[in-house]
This record gives sequence, C-alpha cells and structure tokens, in this order.
Amino acid sequence: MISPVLLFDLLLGLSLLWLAWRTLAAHTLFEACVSFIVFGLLMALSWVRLDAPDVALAEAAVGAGLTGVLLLGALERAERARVEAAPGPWWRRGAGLSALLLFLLLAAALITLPPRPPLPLQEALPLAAAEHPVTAVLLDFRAWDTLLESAVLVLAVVAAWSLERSVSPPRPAPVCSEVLRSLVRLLLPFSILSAGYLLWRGGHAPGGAFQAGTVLAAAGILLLLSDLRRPFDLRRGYWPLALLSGLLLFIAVALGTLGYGGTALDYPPGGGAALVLLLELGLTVTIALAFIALFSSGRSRGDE
Amino acid sequence: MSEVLFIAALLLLLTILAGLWRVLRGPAPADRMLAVQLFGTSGVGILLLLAEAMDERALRDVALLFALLAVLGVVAFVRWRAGAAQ
Amino acid sequence: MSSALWFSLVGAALVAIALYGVFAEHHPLRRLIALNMMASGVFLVLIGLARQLPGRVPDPVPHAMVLTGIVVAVSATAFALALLRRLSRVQQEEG
Repeated sequence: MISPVLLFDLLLGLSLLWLAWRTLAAHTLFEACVSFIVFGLLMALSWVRLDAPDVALAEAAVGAGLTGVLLLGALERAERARVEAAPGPWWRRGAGLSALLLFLLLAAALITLPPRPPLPLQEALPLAAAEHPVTAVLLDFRAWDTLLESAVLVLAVVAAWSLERSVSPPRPAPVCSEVLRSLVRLLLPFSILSAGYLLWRGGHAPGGAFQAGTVLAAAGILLLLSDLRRPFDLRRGYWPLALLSGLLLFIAVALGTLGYGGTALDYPPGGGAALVLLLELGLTVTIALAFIALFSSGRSRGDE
Repeated sequence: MSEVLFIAALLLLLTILAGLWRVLRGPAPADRMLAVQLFGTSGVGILLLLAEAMDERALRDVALLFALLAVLGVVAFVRWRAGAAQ
Repeated sequence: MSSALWFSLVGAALVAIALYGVFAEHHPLRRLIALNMMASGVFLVLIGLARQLPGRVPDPVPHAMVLTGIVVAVSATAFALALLRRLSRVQQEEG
C-alpha cells in the first residue's frame, strides 16, 4: 500500500508540472498570470515538504503576494504591447527537442549523483553569530553574498527609475471603496507586527530579514493601492537614504570589522549576535523599500 | 496520527485540484480570481495540518503569511479591472 | 524513490518546460513568466539536493542561496516589467 505521505508528494509534484504547462499554454495573459499565482502557492507547499520553512516563508510572501501584484499591475500595459509574429513550427519543434534533451541530461545527473558526505559546516555552526543555520549562513559565513545582494536590489531600483520619463509626482490613487479602506486599516497593523515578529525570530528559528522585508513591502503596496495615504515619492527627501540603509550599514560593518580584526565581516567575539540583528534590521528596510519602489515605478502621472 | 493528518492534507490538495478546473475554465476573470482566493484558504489548512504532521512549528508562520497576503492578489485584480473599465 | 529526489526531478522538468516556453512564446510577458518558472525549477533542484544529505537536518547553504535567489528574481522581474512598460510606451508614440 502506498503511503499517504508519498501520495501527497507525488500529487503535489504532478500538479506543479501540469500547472506550469497550463501557464504557458494559457489563451490570455490574464489566465497565464492567474495560473502562475497558483503555481507560487503550490511551490510554497513543496518547500514545506522539503523541510525548507525559511524558503516557504519567503515564497508565501513573494509567490502568493508580490508576484501576483506585480504581474497584474503590468497587465494593462502588456495587453496593449505589440508583439513580434509567433515562431514557426520548426522553431517550436527545435525548442521542444532541446527542452526534452535538457530534462534527460538533468534527470540523469540527479539520479546518478553520488551521496555526499556530511558538511564541515555542521561543526562550525556552534561558533556562528546566529543560532539558526540559514541565518548563520546568510549573515555570517556568506555575509559577502548578502552584501552584494542588497547592492543588486538598489541597482534594480536605480535602473527602473532611469527608465521613467519624468520626475513628476506619482499619480494619486483612484478613489477606492470603503471595503478596501477598512480592509487595509485592518491588515496593515497585522502585517507590520508579523514583519517584526519574523525579523526577531530569524536569529533562532526560520524567519529573518528576507521574509520580514517582503511582508513589509506587501503592506506598503497595499497602502499604495488604497487611497488612505497621499502617494509618496521614494526619490525625494530622506527616502533614498532609507532605501540605501541596508547596504550602507553592511559596508560600515565590513569596514569596521576590517579595522578591528583585520578581516571584513569577521565579527568580534561576543558582538556577533548584535551586529547580525543590526544588519538584518537595515536589510529589512532596504528590501521593503526596494520592492515598494519597484512596484510604484512607472506609475507616475507623466508615464500614463 | 501523522498518517491521518497527511490523508486530510491530501484531501485538501485534491480540493485545490478540483478548484483548478474553475481557474482554467473560467469563464469570467472574476471566477478565476475567486478560485485562487479559495486556494489561499485551502493552503492555510494544508499548512496547519502539515505543521502538526511534520512537527515543524514554523509552518504556522507560513500559514499566517498566506492568510495575510493572499488578499493582495485580489486587490491588484480589482485595480486592473477598474483600470480596464475606464 | 525519496521525496527529495522526486522534487528534484520535478524541478528539472520545470526547467525544461520553462525553457520551451522562453523559446516558443512570443509575448514578452509570457517569456518573463517562463523565466520565473525556470528559476523556480532551479530552486527546487537545489533544495532537493540539500535534503539528500545524510541525517535529518538539511544543508542550510542552498537554503540561503535560494532565499537570496528569490529576492533577486523578484527584483529582476520588476525591472523587466519596467522595461516592458517603456517598450509599450515607445511603440505607442511611434503610432
């Protein structure tokens, strides 16, 4: 008898594949977007089944929230875009054949992969500045990667801003219904509370800056979609500084540790946990503001 | 015990698959979006069941995020429809 | 077959399906969705491999890489959507 656990995993995997196919074969752009939102939801369940709660948290915020908003927000413009002619049948056949070949190669590599020995990382974990292994990797062992990642985020925002035609203030949000207004009033405090909770938990359990930042961004976008607050321009005032705060903090800590111990981002004994929390705080602000800026770019008055 | 929980989660997954039919068939965009909204609720149920079955407390946090953020898609959808109607 | 290997294989199949989508689709938004799908497939392979370590605890390094990857993928998607918006505006002006 096949166990329910195995059956669940099989069904989940097959639905992912089927949904992927349906997303690509969808008749309209809207159908493709909706299928992709459901796809993100099933991905979050797959992360859960693979014992990756950190990734599941991020996917729940990104896949179930942000991606859907981004895609649906771009739909109006995208539907009007002129597209080149559809590729011919031979081109499609070639693409299908190379996709099949790629799958066979990948599958063969995955099946024949020899079992790996336990990582030396397990022995280093007790020395890390954070108790939770994923946070320890992100902000201690591979802190350089995270520094550069925050730089990539800032770069994406600058690139998106440079594509805008004017520096006119954002278009005021259209008048929205009382239902949406009360919903936002109700959800906003909870979202901010959850973001703080996730950030705090990150030190010793699944959670951290990535998840907290995404949840905060979702809250900000919800606020922008309602007319509760006058639209704010992230390119003015102190906002750019706040956007940069994660990156600047990271660079400051790197320079400080370089001067103190001779190695950048090698935290002094005893001070690691506090520094990691500080970096995570800055990173949360940068991630949240970067996503909000990316969402609201192109929505200025002069762009429509 | 965990077997029973997994069977319950499996049933919820099957309800999602049944709902997918509505997502793919439509016919109106609102039908599709409402089905997606229901998946958020089923997802919360599956996550809470798995949290017990796999003995992983962090999954309750994932369920919390699902419940909080699933509404974003609907808000964006309504905005898109309002924009298209103008 | 372990469920980790199963999900890795699903990830490999997703990469292949998405590759077909990137080449065979012609609307830029559909290509973008296919690219995102390919990223999800790669992440599934990585996390599946992380689960295949001996012992109950998965390898945290791929988890951290995928977390970074998800955030970077969203920002790249948002930038691509900004490019798409610009493209449609230029087309509109050309008439």
